[in-house]
Amino acid sequence: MSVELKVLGELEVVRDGARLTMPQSKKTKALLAYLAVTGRPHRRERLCEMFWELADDPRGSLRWSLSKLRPLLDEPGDRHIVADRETVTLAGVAVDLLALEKAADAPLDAQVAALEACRGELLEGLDMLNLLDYQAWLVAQREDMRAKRIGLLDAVLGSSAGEEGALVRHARTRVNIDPYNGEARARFIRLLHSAGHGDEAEEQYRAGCRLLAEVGATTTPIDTTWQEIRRPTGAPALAPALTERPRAITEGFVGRVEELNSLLSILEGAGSRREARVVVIAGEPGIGKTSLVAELKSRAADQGATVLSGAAFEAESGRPYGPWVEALREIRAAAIGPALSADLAPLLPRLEKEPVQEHSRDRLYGGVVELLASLAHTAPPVVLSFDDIHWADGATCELLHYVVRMSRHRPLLVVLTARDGELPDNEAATGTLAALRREGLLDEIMLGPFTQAESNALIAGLPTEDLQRVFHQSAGNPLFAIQLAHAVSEHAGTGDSVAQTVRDRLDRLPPFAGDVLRWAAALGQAFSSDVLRNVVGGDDEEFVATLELLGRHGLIRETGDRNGRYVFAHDIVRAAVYDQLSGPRRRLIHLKIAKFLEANAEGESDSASDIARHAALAGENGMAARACVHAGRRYLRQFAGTEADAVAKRGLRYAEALSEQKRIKITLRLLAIRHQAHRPSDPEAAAAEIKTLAERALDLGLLDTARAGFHFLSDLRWEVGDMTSAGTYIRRAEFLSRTGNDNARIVGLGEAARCLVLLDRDLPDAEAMLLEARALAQRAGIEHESLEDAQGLLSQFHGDVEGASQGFGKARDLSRRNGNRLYEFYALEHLVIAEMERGRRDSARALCAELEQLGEKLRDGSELPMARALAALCRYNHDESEVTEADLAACTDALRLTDAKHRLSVVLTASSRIHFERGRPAQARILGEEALSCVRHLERPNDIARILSFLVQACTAQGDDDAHDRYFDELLRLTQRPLSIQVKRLVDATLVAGQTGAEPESE
Amino acid sequence: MPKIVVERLFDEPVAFEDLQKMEDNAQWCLELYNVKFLQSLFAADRKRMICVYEAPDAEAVRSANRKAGLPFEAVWSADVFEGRR
Repeated sequence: MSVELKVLGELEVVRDGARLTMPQSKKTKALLAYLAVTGRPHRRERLCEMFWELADDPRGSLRWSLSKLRPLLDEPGDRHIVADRETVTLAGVAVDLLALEKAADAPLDAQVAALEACRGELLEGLDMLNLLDYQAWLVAQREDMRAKRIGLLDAVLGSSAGEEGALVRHARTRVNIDPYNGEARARFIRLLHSAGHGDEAEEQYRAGCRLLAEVGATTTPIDTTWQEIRRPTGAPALAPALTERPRAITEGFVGRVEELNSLLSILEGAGSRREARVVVIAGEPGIGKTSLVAELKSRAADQGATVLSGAAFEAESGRPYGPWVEALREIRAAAIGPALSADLAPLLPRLEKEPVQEHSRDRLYGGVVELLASLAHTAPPVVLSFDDIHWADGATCELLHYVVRMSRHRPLLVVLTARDGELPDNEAATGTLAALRREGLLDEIMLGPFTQAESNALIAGLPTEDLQRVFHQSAGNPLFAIQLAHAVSEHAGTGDSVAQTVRDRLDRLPPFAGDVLRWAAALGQAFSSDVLRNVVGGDDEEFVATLELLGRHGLIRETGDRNGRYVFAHDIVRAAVYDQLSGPRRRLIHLKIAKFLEANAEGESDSASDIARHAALAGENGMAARACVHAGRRYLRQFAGTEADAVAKRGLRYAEALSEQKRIKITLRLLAIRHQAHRPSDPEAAAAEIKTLAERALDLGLLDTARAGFHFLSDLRWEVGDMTSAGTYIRRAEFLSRTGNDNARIVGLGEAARCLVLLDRDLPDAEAMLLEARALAQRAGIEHESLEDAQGLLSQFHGDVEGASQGFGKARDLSRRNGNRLYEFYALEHLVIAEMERGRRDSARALCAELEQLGEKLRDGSELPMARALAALCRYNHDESEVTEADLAACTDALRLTDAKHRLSVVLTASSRIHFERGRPAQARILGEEALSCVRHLERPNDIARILSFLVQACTAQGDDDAHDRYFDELLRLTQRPLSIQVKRLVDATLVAGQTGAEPESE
Repeated sequence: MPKIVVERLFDEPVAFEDLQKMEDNAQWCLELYNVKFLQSLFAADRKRMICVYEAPDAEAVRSANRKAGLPFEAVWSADVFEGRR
């Protein structure tokens, strides 16, 4: 028994000469094709990565797919799928691709046979845009096959052997798969002419002129040929265009009586019992799911119900909330109201009057539920229909599940359609349906084929013998029946599939109409007539007439929405047109579309994901990666983390192909999106990757990119997540640092960073600037005290006391070497405070003596009083008999007089702590409260939090509940601000202890 | 916001324009420290002057002046006495 896999065209499996029915899951078919064409063992892990990257249980999904393939390929004693725990192989299967590969060196008749075996493009219709690795593999394989085919065709045509009809056929194929080759087209035109097909030769000449102009190529070869052969007289006689309206197709709704009745009764129940129901209508492609839903919606609308419709599209399956956006877009803004507008703005940006700071996913979800509730109140029941949910994104499914659960007691009917065979490929949709089923909210309707009577009613108007033939050929599939009926009434050929039939009809359309349809197919299942007109070009009137013509022939139809959108009669029709496009033409069309969309898009608009898709298909990696950045940022704003992560990951793939400078720039942006979407599982590795990129950017002189990288790195550390918070004064500081040489820049950045840390303001920005300054300094071999001091202060904020002391020590040495006394004082002062906080009393005391000496040399200012106060504090802390409380108070007074509030707060806090530890909470509180007023004045959040924590403890010890509650509440509010890790820990401990009544551990 | 007084002494007479330039250059620094310049009082010889600022504390004015390279003799926070009109 022999099994043969045909991949040159649509995928087919042939066993002993008979074609087998393929599994419906596209992923399963793609897996089979991949195993067959590669013909070697694959690790399970690798296959999971390639096909089920985002799935929760990839190994389970792989097992499921293999279980669908086994009954197809394996028979007892004849097994082809060889799978163990580690690897999967497809063995003992003949693949038609091999013959094509061997044919290059074979005799002419073998070459001709190999060409005849090519039914179309490699694995036609098996594109999976969201499976990056697979798609990349497929595109490369197709390119390879195309090159081989062109080689064979040139060999066969060059030999001029064989009958004329066959040569014409080969020349036609040559032109179809390589439409921009002028020489090949010229040869085809000559062959057509000498075979007596003068009309078609002329048509080909005109098509050639149009296509070559499309790419800006020379038309000389075909012009020359045309001059030689053109008919001497008379106007060109073109093939008669199809313009009459076919009469065969019924306009009304046909059949499905039982299904429609049960839908209507579910709708009635949802309305009268005020309860939410979900119905999923399943069946094969073209069986009439959408028509049935359309009929239900029209009946519901007649009864005064609110009808909202959306659809998922295969090409958009990575875009979050696609069907929701479409469904909600039709609601008038007035019906939504200002309060809900703000909640829904992430989905419908047109509603956003002024930028709202605090969007959240809860608000968005709640907003959708409320909107549906208000519609269910004013015009009940609400019918919400989503078409093709086997292509729906995860965010759509999640929101749908939420809405249904929260609307249980509202008159809501959700109608979903799905290709049952492709549903298992979509884990999110399957999961949501399973949950709804468990919750008893789901009804399921399976659509079977039409009966002969129903089929006849659908295409009434054809002669009886045709009705019979169409019914048998279509096997009761209404879409196929309609396409066949069109073909019959147009006297076109009928193929054995919808796609084949559509293609045969396509060949008979006027050239411009065919062109319009091809461009539309590249745009997608639903397309804007405005975009289409712009990319196709040409005369407006002719364009409008062409859309009408295509509509009359049942290939496309108007959606009737306000945006002038059209849809293909069915996705199969679109795929049939699209799959016929040659690789180079496809790339050119997508490029033109991407460029048009990019030129007309506003940054992070809804079209970003479209641009990314078209640019990727055009092989424009830079544009695709850029668009992925825009799309990712947009998805983040819609709280669709999974989709944002996926699109960023895709962008990283495109970025790989770019020059280093562009790559680094875009990679940093994409990584930022990924880390905002999901906290990195290994933050250290993530930080290291970003640091490398930022430093490389510095090497390449990309200052802005490097700066963005350091900001990002710092944000990762601070986990504040807001990349655009830099204040104007920082920009000014940076501006100052940018002018001048390396040294000036390093010092400028370092100073600005140190300044911000000292002021306890915008710490993530400060850290970013410091990172940049340090990287620059390292490269230039420069050291500066400001960098070390700032590093010490930041380490202190991060709770790294050891690092803090090191930084201050180094800053002190450097400033001493540079003769900068003031700076030396700062560094030493910070060191003393750090040592005191670490409980190293002796070291602190020794350093205080040095600090006092240094303070005496500095004129005026608060330095000397501070040095004296710190020294008194150290001695008082060591032994109260050495320095009395009055001595310490005198030093504190002197410091108070200089009006240096931060320094004063440091001394007051430390004194207060000593009082508290020695059982004098009342005194502790007085000093603590003065310290608090100082830091409040200076607006230092970390210090405020620190002192509040202390005061909460002091009030507890004193038993002053009112004050305790006041401080506790303020502390709670403060947790909304970005605080340092160390302070955050302290505050959390205080809050927990405050609620349980226990004492928090001291700092 | 407390008023802070800065006393300055110069070896050479200073022109208004030069002072304005120094203040302009120090603007970003003053902002950073939340310091607002109010007015300056000059001696006739243009070698002695007093500047009045608004700031959270005197230390902020010291730091900002040092950072901006503006020389000063003393900085102190002041209570305002308007007198009887």
